[in-house]
Amino acid sequence: MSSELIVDELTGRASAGSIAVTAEGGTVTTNLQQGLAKMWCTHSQAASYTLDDSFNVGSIADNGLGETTINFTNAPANANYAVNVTSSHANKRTTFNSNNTTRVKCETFEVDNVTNPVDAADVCTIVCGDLA
Amino acid sequence: MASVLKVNTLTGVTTAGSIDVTGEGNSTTTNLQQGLAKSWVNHTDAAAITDSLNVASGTDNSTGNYDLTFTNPMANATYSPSVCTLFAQLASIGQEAGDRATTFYQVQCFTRQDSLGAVDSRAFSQIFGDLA
Repeated sequence: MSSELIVDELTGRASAGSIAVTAEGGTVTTNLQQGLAKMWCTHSQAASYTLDDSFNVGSIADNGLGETTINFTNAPANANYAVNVTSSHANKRTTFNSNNTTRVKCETFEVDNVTNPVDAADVCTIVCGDLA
Repeated sequence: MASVLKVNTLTGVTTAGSIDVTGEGNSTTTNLQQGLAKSWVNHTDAAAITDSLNVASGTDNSTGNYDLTFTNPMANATYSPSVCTLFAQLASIGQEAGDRATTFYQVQCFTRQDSLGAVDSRAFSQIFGDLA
């Protein structure tokens, strides 16, 4: 018989922000909070800079051609988090150019012209790290 | 009234390493363990670890070529790494057989001007897959 737990919130008992989860192999544990993405979003830089979908994003801002600022709703604990940015164009590449505890900036260039930024659609960003 | 569960470790009843979580749409379930990043890392251009989950060490193999070694190994080498770097430079996982194993994976960084030109760079990775 399967067991079902109905709950709205999970909190660590010994440490509120730390819950171990038994991993797939059944032997070691991984950390629930550490393994959760702390922010993700999909946005378009083209034309209107629309935020299509997101988690823990308060707003985005157009910094000019090919550059976006993505502002967190709940801030990370530090700026040491791991960011991943990609976009949907074979001839463009999107990376990030700076980050801190309030925002991530990402920028897009054409593959064959890395000096001039260009707008891209479907810019996808993930942040893993510690929340404050 | 919201219910709060205070717990130190979550373990599946039927299978220790498998817990279902009802998805946002309230109809299907997703898997807690499968959805967690099993590793993430922010490392310097010399492979020093700035912050991480489940990364024991970084090794600077050569210009733009880094090995990241797991603390707890993966169950197999078919896990999914995502890598990203700065300023429109390129980052990829190692292309050769053996560059991705249960105990480590290789990250390679290239200049924004020449995708064959290796360059030292801060880089970021996120790993999804099964822990051993």
